[in-house]
Order: sequence, then C-alpha cells, then structure tokens
Amino acid sequence: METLKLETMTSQEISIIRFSGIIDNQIKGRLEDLFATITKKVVLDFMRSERINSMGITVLLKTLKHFQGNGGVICYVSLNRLNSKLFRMVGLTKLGKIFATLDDAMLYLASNQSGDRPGQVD
Amino acid sequence: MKKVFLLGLIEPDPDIRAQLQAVFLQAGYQIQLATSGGEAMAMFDPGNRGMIDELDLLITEYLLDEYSGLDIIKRVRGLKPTMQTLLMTSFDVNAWIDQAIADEIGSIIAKTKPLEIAELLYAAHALLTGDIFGLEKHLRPGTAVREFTVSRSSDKEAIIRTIAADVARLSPDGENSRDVVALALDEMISNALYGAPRNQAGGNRYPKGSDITLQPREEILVRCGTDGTLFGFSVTDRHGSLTRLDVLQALSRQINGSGLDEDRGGGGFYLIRSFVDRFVINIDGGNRTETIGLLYLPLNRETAETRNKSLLIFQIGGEGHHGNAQA
Repeated sequence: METLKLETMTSQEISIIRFSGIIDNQIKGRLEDLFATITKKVVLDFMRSERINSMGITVLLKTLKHFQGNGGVICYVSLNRLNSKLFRMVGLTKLGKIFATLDDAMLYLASNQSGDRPGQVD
Repeated sequence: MKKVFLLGLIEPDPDIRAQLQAVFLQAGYQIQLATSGGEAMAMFDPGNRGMIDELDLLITEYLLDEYSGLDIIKRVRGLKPTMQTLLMTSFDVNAWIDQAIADEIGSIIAKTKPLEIAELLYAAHALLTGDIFGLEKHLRPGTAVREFTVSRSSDKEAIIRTIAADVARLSPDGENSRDVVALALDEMISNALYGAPRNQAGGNRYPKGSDITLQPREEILVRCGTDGTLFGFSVTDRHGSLTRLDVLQALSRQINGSGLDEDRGGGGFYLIRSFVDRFVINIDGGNRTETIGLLYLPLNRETAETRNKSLLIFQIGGEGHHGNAQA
C-alpha cells in the first residue's frame, strides 16, 4: 500500500499541510488530529498527492466542514484537473478556495483577516 | 433453433426511429414500431394481449406526446410484469435516478449525438438473454484482454499503475485519462476488496482500507483491453453481494447532495460514473459482481465528461429474479 505522508509547517500564522501519496482511508484520524493543532488559516498542498479516492474525500469533507464551521479559512493548491473537478462536484470548494500556487494562496490568506471567509469560492 | 426476439420500439423522431429499426433488424431482432405514446397505448391495449405476450423487450423514448415513455412501461408491466424495458432520454440521466428506484428501472439509455448504438445493442442483448458478463462484449471482436489477480490488498496499487500507464500511452489526453482510470480502478477494486465480502450479519467482513489477504475463493479478477477506440477495464468479485438497488440508492445520495460526507459507502460509484464514458455494473446475486469502465480514447476528457451518460445496471439472480437480466 502506498504510504500517505502529511507534512506540516507554519509560516506567517498560516499552516501548510503537504500531502504525498494516495489520499484514502489512511488519512482517517491523522487529519483530524492535525487540524486540532493548527491555526485558523490553512493551505492544503496537493502537489505530491497522486490521487484522492472517495474514502479520502469523505475524511476531507468531514474535517474541513468542522474546521470551517469554527471560523477556519481553507485554501487548496496544486490540484490537478481531475481533483479540481472532483472538489467542485463533492462540495469541497464551498469550504475553501482553489489556487494554482502556494504563493497565490499565501498572499490571499495574508490579506484575509483571521476568520474571514473567502468572498468568493470557485 | 435460435429464438428471434420481438422488440417494441417507441420513438417519435423519424430519423432516429429509422436508424434504430435498421440496426435492430440487422442484429436479427423483429420489431414492432410505434411513433407516439398514443399509438403505443393502443398497441398495448389490454384487449391486445397476444401482442403483449409475444413482446420480449420494450424500448421507449421518455418524451412522447400525451403519454410518456414511463406511462407506456407501466401499462405494459401491468399486463406482463416480467417485461424487460429500456427507457431512452435526451435529458440528464442523473436526474432520473430516484425515478429509476421508484419504478425499478436499472438501465436508462442516454440519447447522445451520435447515438451509442453499441451500448444500446449490448443493453438489449443483456436484458433479453441474461448474458451480461465480459469486458469483451464492449470491445471490437477479437480484442485481446489482459488479466490480473488481486489476492491481497497490497496488489491493488501495482495493478492500477500498470493499467493507468497503458491508457496514458494510448490516449492523446494521456495524463488526464491516466488519472481517470486510476481513480476508477481504485474505487472498483476497493469496493471488491472491502464492500463485497460480507460477514454473517451482513456487514463488511474486512474494515475499509485495512491490509488484508483474501481467501482463494475471494480473489478479484481485474481485466483491461483496448480496440483502439475504447479502452476498457473491469473488476470482478466472487460475492455478488451488491444489488441494483444498493447502486441506485448510493447514486441518489450523491446526486441529491447528501453523499460522500456521510460515509455510507457507494460514493465511489458516483465518482466512477462521473468520470468514465461508460460505466456498467453486472450482478449475479450471491455469485459475482462485475464493474466495467470504458473510455473513448480519441475524446478529450474535459469534453467527454460533459456528455450525458447511460445508466447500465444488469442483475441476474438475487432479489426479484425473473430469469433474464433485470434493468
């Protein structure tokens, strides 16, 4: 089984989570634990993620819904064409905003007051 | 002597009607045509029992005149409950899933331009004969098919990568086709690994995503092949625990917006159906389930995903079995 890796770092009070490998059921528990520790602004970077299956989507939806419900602001970066479409289909773009690059997302979050929701989501 | 099946075909568009008539006649079927709902209702009048008894399959456009295709199906089923039926529509088939549950319809043909004649012929053959299984049925005759066996969960990824690399090499839209095939196969194999084996209480025998080794009789067969136009892949489990209703209810949950965040299973079907060009589910209740995905190689994925897609679920055996496949 492909090992899913989650790396986190913080910059300018913004948490960045980098996914590597396949996002599937292995993410269960790990993502929730991670979100319990992070700040109000987060970037999820999918550059090194090969694939996100329905089990992974389920965990993302649950975790991000809870985070956003508590005032969190979420950005997604480096989604491939399939995953961008998938995120729109399943409603993940109602919870966060898609950016092409990490820099774009950081710029957006830096100018966003803590807890402000994105004015417009894709 | 080989039985010649009699099809009732109700299609108001003269060009489509002529095309379908020619195709079905050439395929060896007899056809009884109607051009409107009114004409069909008269043809299937309770006083015309002989005609209804002889009919093997009813194929009808939904949008007719004073009667809909569903009205015709209900009339005919009222007189002959075992009648096989195929509904055709130009509307978004996803909007029909709840209706399909209510009216026990497993197959709805999307009227694309041009019409998917091979798909329609397959559906008719499947419903009439119960001969539903086999990736080859969707590919040109003589197409070579490769086979892989999944004996443990750790086999999954290598097989996905091999098949996804094949489509990436063959498709002009390589990377996008690769991603679609990898996701679809992931969902199909995961379903066969964790959704199909049931415990005595009817729950999943193996926890989702766990590292498992299957018993020899549980091994999963994965197949793939291309005829140059279509790239097909299939996953077969030996449980047949899925039902047509399970699939329709799972699709309905996704389409009605209470889907993947509920973790009730079956969400993968919606994803596969959204991204592959043709998705077929064949079930022999209690024996095996085969899921088949097909991609049109020449099509750009972005364009392909906007096309209306047929609903193709066939079931023999298990609940409500009447001898032939059900849709």
